[in-house]
Amino acid sequence: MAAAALVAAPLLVLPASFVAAPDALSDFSGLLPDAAVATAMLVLGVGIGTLVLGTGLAALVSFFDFPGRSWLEWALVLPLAMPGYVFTLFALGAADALGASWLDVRSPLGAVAVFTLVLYPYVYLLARSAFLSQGPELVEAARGLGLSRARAIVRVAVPLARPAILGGVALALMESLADFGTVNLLGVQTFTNAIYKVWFGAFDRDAALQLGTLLVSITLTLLALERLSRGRARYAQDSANAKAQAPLRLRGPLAALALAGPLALVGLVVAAPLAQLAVWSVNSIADGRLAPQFATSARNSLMLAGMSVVLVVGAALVLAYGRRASRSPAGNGAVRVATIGYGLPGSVVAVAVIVPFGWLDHRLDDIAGVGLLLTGTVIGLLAAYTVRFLALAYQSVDAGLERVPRSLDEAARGLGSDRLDVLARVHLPMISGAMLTAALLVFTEVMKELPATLLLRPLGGDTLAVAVWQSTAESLYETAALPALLIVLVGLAPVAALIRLSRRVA
Amino acid sequence: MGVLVEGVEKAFGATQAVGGVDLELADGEIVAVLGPSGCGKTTLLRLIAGFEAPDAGAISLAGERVAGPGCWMPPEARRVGMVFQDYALFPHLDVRANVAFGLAQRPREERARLTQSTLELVGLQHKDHSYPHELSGGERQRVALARALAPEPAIVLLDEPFSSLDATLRAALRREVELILRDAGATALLVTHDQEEALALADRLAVMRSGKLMQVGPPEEVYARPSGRWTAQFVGEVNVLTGMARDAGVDTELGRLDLAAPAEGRVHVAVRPEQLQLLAGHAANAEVVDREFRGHDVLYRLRHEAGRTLIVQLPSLELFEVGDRVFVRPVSSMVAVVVD
Repeated sequence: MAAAALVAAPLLVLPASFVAAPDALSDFSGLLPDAAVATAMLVLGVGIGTLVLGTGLAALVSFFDFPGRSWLEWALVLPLAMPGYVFTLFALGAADALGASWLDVRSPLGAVAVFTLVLYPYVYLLARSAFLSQGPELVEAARGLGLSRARAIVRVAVPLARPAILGGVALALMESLADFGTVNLLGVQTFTNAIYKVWFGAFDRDAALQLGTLLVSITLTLLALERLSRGRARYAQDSANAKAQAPLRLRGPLAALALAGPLALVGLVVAAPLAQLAVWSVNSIADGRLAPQFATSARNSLMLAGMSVVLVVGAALVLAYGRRASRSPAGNGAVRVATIGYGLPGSVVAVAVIVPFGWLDHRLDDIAGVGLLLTGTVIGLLAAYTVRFLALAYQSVDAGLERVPRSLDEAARGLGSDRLDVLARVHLPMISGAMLTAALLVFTEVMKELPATLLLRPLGGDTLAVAVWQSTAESLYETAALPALLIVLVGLAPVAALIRLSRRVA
Repeated sequence: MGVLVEGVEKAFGATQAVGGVDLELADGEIVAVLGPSGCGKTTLLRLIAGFEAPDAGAISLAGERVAGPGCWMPPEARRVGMVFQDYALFPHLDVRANVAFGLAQRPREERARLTQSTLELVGLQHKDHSYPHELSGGERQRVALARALAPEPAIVLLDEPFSSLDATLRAALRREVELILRDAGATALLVTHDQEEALALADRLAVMRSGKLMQVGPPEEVYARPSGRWTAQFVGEVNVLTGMARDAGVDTELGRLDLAAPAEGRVHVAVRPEQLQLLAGHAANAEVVDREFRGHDVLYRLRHEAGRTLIVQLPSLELFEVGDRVFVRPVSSMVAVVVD
């Protein structure tokens, strides 16, 4: 409970800013319409893009069979490992190299394309598992009523999967709203970009907080939508029998097309950037054009990620086990509050964390004369990571705990173990897999994280992500390549773990 | 004194799960709490184990108060051994480690000795390095029992221990579990909705309904002298007849029956199906309307000429057909019991 309050406290700062300084935003009124228009375009474009691409691909691999299908099924998840700003780096570099002036990447449309390409797996994954869990009966019933296979899929299977598909779209939209690197590099003036400008350009905290609040309210709406649709999706999954459809076998050119199309997509989003980054990395090493302090930022990244793993997974365990042990409605509430941070963009979390910490810092300094202990060091950054990624770790740990029957807790207690002993001797050995997944997820997310790191990093505390962003912003694509390559390679680990996990389930 | 439950009450919201239960178990005694699902029997078990706290009343284990006004001992301190319906074996530990789980505080030699002797008691010493998923249902149950017995608990609590086994295994395992419990000299409280199981296994039976104990006594007494109509019907099959009682007898449509205790006036009496017999070729007073062949015996459903439907259980030596006219009468040793 206390842990939950600590995590949630910074978030109260957001709406409070409107009370504290009602007119702060009026100085930047010019920013607002631009940000609103750009954000709306982004939401609309990415929404439609991921919806069509994700659902289409999911339907292709669920309802049709062709050589290489089972392989393709998982290859399509790989773009999850590609952070938007790394793909942007590739796209910018490639456009420059081609000299293709018709290819205007630096535009809202370019941003929509980038987000659609790297975020469609959210929709794809959820839609696919919904299709697979439907069972063949309903589509067969529709065909018995005279619908062709294609029409049965469009009129029965897709509407049935609607909650899952919308849930995926909501996740993709949340990610694109939270993104800073891509929109900043492409010069698209969305809310996150505006927050950064107001913060670093004008040092106006209240205005930044208020922009953050606006962004959060959009995100919360999406989050509510996602919860709503997922709640129903789970219901549908429980009642459905798990037998998958018998997919229609494609032959000849159709089969080749079904494999080649998606493969080209994965090649564009994953293979081509990886190859390009590798070439640039080699060049940059050969030419001695490594990022300044490359070693330092790599070390910073690893240390920050390592510390966050301990902190965040530990907090998630305390929270999940605490809720299991007490089973009180208050505990449930605490969890909900503590895990809300995942819906929030990193930049918003950063500005929300810095206000109470800054206040606390000055009090501490007054008392003990220790200087700015919290905001000037990694403590502030770690706090932001905790707020941002606690939900991610919590979901994994909690799902692991849920699979442990409660009678095991009671059996152990009856055998003389107190609560802590039960955790150590029964739960931890049984959920080690889930803990590892949580650790992996947090580790790579922290490696990738850009906006909060940018706002809160202490002096000399650049990370790989910051290095990528800085070098790309200065069009030093080759310099940016090596850190970007490392981020992507590390990011492939949890995707591989995810694939292994789902394969075992399926 | 093994276990003492005094006036224990427990409500969940508006539902009174356990409403004032008194129960005593002597050392080494096996008691079965028998009742339909939702009667509160599992809650009673969980109250004794310490997984729930009573709203009122007190519980003592081995002479020590563990729950009551101003007194609460957590489950890990109570020395209860619980056998769960799903056995709740730790899937990440092998058989030996499961059995040794509750002995963590003991010195090493004692732990090894107790684990070994308990494994031998349940006859699983050859499976000690198997994991739970590698065992059969019956073996799992014996591991669960061994795990509960190893720390030498004050009481063993068994929650529907046979419900997840198939019917053919059940009877054999029932006997095996009883022998293991007797060998260990354990005091045991068993919760079940299966009357056959309760009758066969227990020294005493506690019949529970809607959170209250209806009758507590040896199985043969509960069966032969049910305290009320509901108990009579829940513990075995029964015919309930109406008659006029006078002194030690009652006049019914089956003639005058002896009564277990004197009564007066209009009463209901319970007559078990095996307390009736059928005669062919006599002045018939009933017709066979249904026959349920059960192998070693047969259950007949008759329509008596007075209008009542009767059930009669006979050995399957001589068979009557549906439609046969028969003469039904009580066996000579028959004693009827007034049930309300």
